[in-house]
Amino acid sequence: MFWRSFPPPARFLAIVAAGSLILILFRSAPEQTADQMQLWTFARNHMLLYEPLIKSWNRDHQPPLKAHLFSGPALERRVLSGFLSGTPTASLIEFERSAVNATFLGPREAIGWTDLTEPIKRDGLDELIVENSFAPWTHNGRIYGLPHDVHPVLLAYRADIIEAAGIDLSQVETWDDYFEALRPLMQDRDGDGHPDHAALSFRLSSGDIENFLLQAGGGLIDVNGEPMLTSPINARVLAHLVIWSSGPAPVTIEAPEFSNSGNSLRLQGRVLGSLMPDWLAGVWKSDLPQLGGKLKLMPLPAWEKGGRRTTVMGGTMLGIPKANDRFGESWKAAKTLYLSEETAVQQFLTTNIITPVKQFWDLPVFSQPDPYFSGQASGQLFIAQAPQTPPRHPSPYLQMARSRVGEAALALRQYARDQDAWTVEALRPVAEELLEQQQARVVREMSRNHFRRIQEVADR
Amino acid sequence: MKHRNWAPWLFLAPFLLLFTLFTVWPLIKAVTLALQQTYGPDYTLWIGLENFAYLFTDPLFWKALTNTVIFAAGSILIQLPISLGLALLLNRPDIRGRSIFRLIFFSPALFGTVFVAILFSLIFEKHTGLLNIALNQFFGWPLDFPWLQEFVMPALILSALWMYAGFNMIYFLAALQSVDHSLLEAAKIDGANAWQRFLNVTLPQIAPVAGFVVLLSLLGSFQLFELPYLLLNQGAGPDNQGLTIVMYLFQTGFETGDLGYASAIGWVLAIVLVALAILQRRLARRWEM
Repeated sequence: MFWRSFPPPARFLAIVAAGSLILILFRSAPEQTADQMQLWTFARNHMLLYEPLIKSWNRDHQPPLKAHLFSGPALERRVLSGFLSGTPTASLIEFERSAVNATFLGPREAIGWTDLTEPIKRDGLDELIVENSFAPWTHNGRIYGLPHDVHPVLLAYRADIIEAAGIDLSQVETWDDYFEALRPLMQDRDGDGHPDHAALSFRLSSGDIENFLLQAGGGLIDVNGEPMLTSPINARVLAHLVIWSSGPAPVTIEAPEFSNSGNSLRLQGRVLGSLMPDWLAGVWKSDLPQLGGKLKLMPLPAWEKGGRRTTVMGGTMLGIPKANDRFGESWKAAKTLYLSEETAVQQFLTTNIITPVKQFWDLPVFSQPDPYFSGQASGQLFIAQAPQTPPRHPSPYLQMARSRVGEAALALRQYARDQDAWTVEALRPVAEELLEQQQARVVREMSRNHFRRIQEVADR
Repeated sequence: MKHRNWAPWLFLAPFLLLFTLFTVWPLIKAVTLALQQTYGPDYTLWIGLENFAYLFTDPLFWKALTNTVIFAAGSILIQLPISLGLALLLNRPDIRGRSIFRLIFFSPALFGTVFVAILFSLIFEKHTGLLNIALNQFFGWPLDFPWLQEFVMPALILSALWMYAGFNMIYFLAALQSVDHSLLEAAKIDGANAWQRFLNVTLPQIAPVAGFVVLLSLLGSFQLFELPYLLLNQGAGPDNQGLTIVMYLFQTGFETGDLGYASAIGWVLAIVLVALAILQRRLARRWEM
């Protein structure tokens, strides 16, 4: 009777509301249960890679491990809110370099990750893994994550177009050599008002800039976690990048990764060269199969003869939250997932990512010819550069420093346009001045952090 | 002995309880938060008015405020006249298929902001974006025109225009349909031309609705967040060109955990919104007089 007193639309709405409530209750976010350990990750390919390993782990271990996939931002928010407010998180969490910095903002005791420095040293993992792979997860000298990768960067170039033009890149050592060698291809032969090809995919934005700063030996944050925007290397690189991208004869083109326009430019052959970290090679194989057999890899041209021939892009760690009463099992599971030979092999085969564990670098899988890169052994090419990857140090102010350098670059470009000044000599002093201004902004923001100041006083 | 009547309090209790819990308490908490530096709820330090002092010298806050004001100005000066123009056009009885056109112009408002942001991120792409291709075909516009790299604010205003012009048109249409036609006819007989009739008869009669739409647009503009956040790939774009006040509040509070500073930004935003609402009311009253 009570039910019938409602009109049909109200009954319908009540059913929908009740159904939604039931769905929400049953599909709520995974909670850590007493009889289960959880691994949270943001990468589907990592998840696929871990599934067989987890199955095998679960045969011999209790409690069982279960993996959950989140979108990157969702994982970041969930973990941060878990650390800040004490809501449950997982036993093991894969976290990206860009996300981890926020977890280091507060006082030291508020860092939600377990300090892994001792376990890593005790188990000799610091000898086993490439040293610089620990850097992004090392805050105030303590290591908070097990590195998943090294992510060295090579240059992928359109061998089909470049070799057909009779250009030989084997003698290229520096960026100047590279652009000079490709000059004949950067003409407007089809008369559309634009050069037919651009030597390099590059965008004058904070992320792209950082890759080149690191390669040149500059960077954003030093080993002590302090901003280093005023490094003279940064000013020189910034001046070059502005000229490359916006000068009277630009040699770069904006072809962003994961975008329709970027991929379209790559497929058309407008982009001749791209920075290629190992993980991106895996993405291209899946997203741009049409380029298979048309590309070759080479070490990045250096900033000066004898300079570093690689940089580093991206990075993931496996961390163990402090609010985890099963550290022993979690640590064992972490080592199984990250340090086994099977992981090293499968990781390369499915994602093209080389393992940071040096002892596996001789495995035959890394020497196999890669048809996508015209039969080159892409694994060995990445591995050859892995020990030279530059260190990157974490800071809660990294993103801010990155944005400030981006602002300096845009201001420098504006200056170059206004003054029609397109030489490194003319732009370098201006770049230095702009970077000093931006550094002051970062320092000012950092000085506002009372937690940091209190910590510094306590440390003294 | 006077008998106290508890019944009204009993009936009011649920409302008072919820109001105190979800409105009064958060307001008090927001005031105290603005006087603290926080790292999540567990780590707090009293810092007095330092958040506010820093805020007024924070270049990013001023950038966010400037961007928001530019967007609001774009919304009011470009979007609303277009909405009114569409409403005037679709209010004419001689337009065939008026209902269909009304539906077409209104329909973008039915899509979610997330959808619109994703759609426009594709439309504004260099080389392959629909807008650059179309402009290139018709006007020889450069295909690599950097909408989302160097012209973020015009891109945002255009996206919002597509989404909300039809929505605001509905308000104006409703107002236009209540305009007294006898006055319009009288003005016509007295020799007033179309523009004079619009200015002296139609506009004064739709003024209250227009004022309401202006206020809504202002409030909406000052709360702008999802559209730039998604259009610019979860950021503020190059040189923070798309940073709005609410986005800055979100970044500060939820990406860096400084709820105190975010709360200070929130209070300044609230004061700005209240001031705008008061200003709008005063202007509307003056207009009515």
